[in-house]
Amino acid sequence: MKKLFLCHFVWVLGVIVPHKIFAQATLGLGFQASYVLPAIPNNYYYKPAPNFELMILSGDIDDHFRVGMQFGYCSLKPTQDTFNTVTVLRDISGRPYSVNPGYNTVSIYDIYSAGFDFEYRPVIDTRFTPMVGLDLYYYYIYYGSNSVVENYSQLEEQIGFQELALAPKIGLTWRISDNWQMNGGIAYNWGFFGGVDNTLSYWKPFINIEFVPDN
Amino acid sequence: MGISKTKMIILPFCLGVALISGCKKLAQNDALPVVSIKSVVLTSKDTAIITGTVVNQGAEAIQYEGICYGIDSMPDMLENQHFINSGQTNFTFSVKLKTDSTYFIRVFATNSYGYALSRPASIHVPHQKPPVVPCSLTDMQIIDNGTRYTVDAGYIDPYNTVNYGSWQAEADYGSVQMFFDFWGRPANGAYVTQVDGGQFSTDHSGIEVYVQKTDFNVYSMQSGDSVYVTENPDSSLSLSFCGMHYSIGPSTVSVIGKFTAN
Repeated sequence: MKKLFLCHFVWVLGVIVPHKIFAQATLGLGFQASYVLPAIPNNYYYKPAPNFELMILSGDIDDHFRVGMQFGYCSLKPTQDTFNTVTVLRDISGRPYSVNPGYNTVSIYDIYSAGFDFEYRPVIDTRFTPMVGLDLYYYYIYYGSNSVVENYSQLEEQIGFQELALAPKIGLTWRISDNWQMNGGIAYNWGFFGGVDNTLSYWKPFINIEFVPDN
Repeated sequence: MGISKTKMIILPFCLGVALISGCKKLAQNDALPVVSIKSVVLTSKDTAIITGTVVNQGAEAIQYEGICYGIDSMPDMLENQHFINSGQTNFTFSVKLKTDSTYFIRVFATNSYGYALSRPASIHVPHQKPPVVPCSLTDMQIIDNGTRYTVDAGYIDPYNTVNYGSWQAEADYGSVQMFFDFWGRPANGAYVTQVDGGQFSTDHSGIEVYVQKTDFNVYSMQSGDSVYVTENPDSSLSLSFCGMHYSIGPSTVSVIGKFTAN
């Protein structure tokens, strides 16, 4: 069921939405730099990190509604060399019989993201205008770790897993010229599906620059 | 339609609040629990009550609380581990300890982030004082079924095969050999006879003794009588009994006495 949902999502994200976007007469390009600030509980494990995204934009620069796609990369680093962990061992009836200490070392946490965003600007005829939006992301997270459970097990692994996230955002748009504009704001990326132990959620202050050619 | 001044003020404010709340860092000290030992009390010759307390649960609720102990100054979390899943601030465990030993104890607590161990506390379990024998006896004398015997020899017997446990004392009088089987070398204290040594406590608490009398027949002492062991300065042991019982046919007879085994 989970896989089916992900497949469906990837289909929508990878085929239908791009088709709609690229069918538009005017396509713009943008580059976004942001800072990923992991939220609780992930901020215990991962430091803030820069995130870079390439944006493909549809519609005119002065449209109220605009849709785009973005592709990004971010690499999170652990806050500590090792994290102490606990594993509860249970007998066949499910009764715990030992609480084993251990540790986990994270070597890789790379996030490859693809998503589309929907933005709304209530005001379009001024140099500065507020912007609200919603991004919908698909993450492929490449994760490497070494987990040791004392007197029980050791597991060194590198795995890829997938997540979906919704990111409501708010910001300001600065209309530089008829073809160029900048946006700054903050988004909250709420991982709502997938993941391993918990989904990745984070705050993301961002700034981007967009170029939209004349129609 | 121009953007209002109010909107221009509110928007950056909202962004600022969001940014600050997102930056709140969860450090290791915030995430993991903090625990400490509240008390360690010796309640009997070999039983200690250990109480730990959760000073701070950390960023998530407590899942397990427990203790670990051993003779090393920094016992590992898995060493003699006891734990509960109670979520209480204070948690208590009763543990059996060997006499004449020093133990180091730590408490621990876990939450979804990991675990924390307390600093160790030590407890010394002293050597037991000799027991008070509740009857007057003469050393090396046994009254068996009303007949008074002088004990010819008392042995700490490394040669005999021990019926139960791993340690045996022997008293020889007349044509009788009387064997006292213990889990290990007994120390000062009162031991309780167990008619079937196979029923010794599974925790090997060491309070039981199996006593067998052998002449032409074999008799096992009944359960529930006391044998008092006193450690002497010369490493010998004195065993006293004010009334052990065994059956001869339908009759129950008693044996009283004291001997010293070398």
